[in-house]
Amino acid sequence: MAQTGKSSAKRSKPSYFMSILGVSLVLFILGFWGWMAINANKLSQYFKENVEVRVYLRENITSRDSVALTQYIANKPYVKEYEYVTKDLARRKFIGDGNEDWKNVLDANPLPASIDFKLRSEYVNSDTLATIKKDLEQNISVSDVQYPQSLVDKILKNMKPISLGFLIAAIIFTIVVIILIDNTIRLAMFSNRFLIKTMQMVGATRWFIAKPMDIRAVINGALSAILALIGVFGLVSFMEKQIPELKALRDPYWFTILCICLLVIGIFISLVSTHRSVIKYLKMKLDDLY
Amino acid sequence: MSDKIVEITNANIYQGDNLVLEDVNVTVNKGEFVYLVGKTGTGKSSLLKTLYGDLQLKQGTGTVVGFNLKEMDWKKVPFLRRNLGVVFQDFQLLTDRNVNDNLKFVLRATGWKDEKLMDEKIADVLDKVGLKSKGFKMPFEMSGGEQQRVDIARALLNSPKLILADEPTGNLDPETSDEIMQLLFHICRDYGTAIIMATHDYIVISKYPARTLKTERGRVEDNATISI
Ligand SMILES: Nc1ncnc2c1ncn2[C@@H]1O[C@H](COP(=O)(O)OP(=O)(O)OP(=O)(O)O)[C@@H](O)[C@H]1O
Ligand SMILES: [Mg+2]
Repeated sequence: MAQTGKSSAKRSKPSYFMSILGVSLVLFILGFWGWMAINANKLSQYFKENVEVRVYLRENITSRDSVALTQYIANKPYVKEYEYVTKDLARRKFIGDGNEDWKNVLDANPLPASIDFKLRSEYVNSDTLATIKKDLEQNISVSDVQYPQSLVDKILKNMKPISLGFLIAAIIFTIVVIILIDNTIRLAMFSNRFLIKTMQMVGATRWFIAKPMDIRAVINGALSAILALIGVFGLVSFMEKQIPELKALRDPYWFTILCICLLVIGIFISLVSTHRSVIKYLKMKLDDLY
Repeated sequence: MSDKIVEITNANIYQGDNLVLEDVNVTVNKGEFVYLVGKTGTGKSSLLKTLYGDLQLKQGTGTVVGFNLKEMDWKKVPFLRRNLGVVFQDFQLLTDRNVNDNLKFVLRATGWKDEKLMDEKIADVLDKVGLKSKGFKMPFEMSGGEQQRVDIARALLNSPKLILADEPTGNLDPETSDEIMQLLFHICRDYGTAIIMATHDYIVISKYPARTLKTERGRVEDNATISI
């Protein structure tokens, strides 16, 4: 029995290493998931903000009316950016899209002028778009309002379940991570139980015993998070190399938040479960340790 | 406090819900050496645990080195233990550091700060147990008897008035047991430290006779009052 105490005191260091590694592994997976969740949101936002609404103008409206309409549209909260497309610009765009010029066939330009605008992502849903369309069509200068309904439907159908699915999965995953980390750390603390008891037997206070282990836990938690972040950075840059389009979705703001979250989760879980298991062993009777 | 180091009256000692010892009345005076004997499972360790605050005293009254056992809680136990020395088999040295560091660790844990005073104290207790020059040895480089001496040195660090020893010679050969017993008696005599020692070793008792308490049938009997 005496031997148990001896060897376990010796093993306490490598098991710290294992717990750092274990914690950083789960944090790494969590971090990568977080990055994917951010990208999924960015991707849906990216698609949504590329939906274009075209407001076609009647022929022969006064420039005053067209300026008024442009003003009206520009001031709408749902407009992200807009462009006034003159008849001539419409023709050039038409040809630019690879269509044949009609100059030889027709005298007049049949394409109407339009105001094209892109929407802010939060306004891209079927009801809102219908309301916007209705509102604009009431304007006397407007002949027609068009937007790619089928594309909108597709975006809404495909993007929504992904984001929600991600959220649910992320929550479940976080809980699993917490349990895993808790177990890893408790295992590491298990080998410290004789050390804890020894300190207690000689009259060390709980605070004195717990303090250095808590400090260690904060350091270990931070180390794990940093290791995990290095891994996430590595994997993300590897993926960006494979799929260059991903670079367009880069968002330093959210990435910083992700880093901070991993750091906080790492330190917090490490500290709480270390402290909990120290207290557990402090409360235990010596006989129960074997 | 007078000279009474331990005073237990009408105490019932429980392990969980089981009554292990009933109506315990024990008084130990300054500088007294007391054996605690009895068959396996009769409650020797339980009595010692009550004395060092590992078991709550639920019924009866008890005072140990001036601490009221009835008022013991996890906040006060550390301060009780600083006034005790505890020696027993399961309570080993830390193997990842040498003897000096083992002892220094205990001093730090009990509130010592001054390096020089700590070094002096360590030299002092090692001298007392006859290990003056062995401070730099690792525990695994020492014999069982030497390790037991270090345990005793550790118990002496905070100059306790009472040492509680649970089978300190249990693992040792007769010669080494002899050395340890001589050391304990020397500490008891020369520093006025009271010692309560649980043991199964009747050879030791006959060689170094002293007052003896016996746990039997749920009671503690004292050969100072009745013959056993
Ligand atoms: N942690 C514990 N939880 C519950 N019961 C216990 C516990 N420790 C001891 N006991 C019980 O309390 C009784 C007294 O045990 P104790 O350890 O005090 O005996 P002991 O006289 O020291 O025996 P030994 O000579 O074997 O060391 C025994 O019946 C034992 O089964
Ligand atoms: Mg026992």
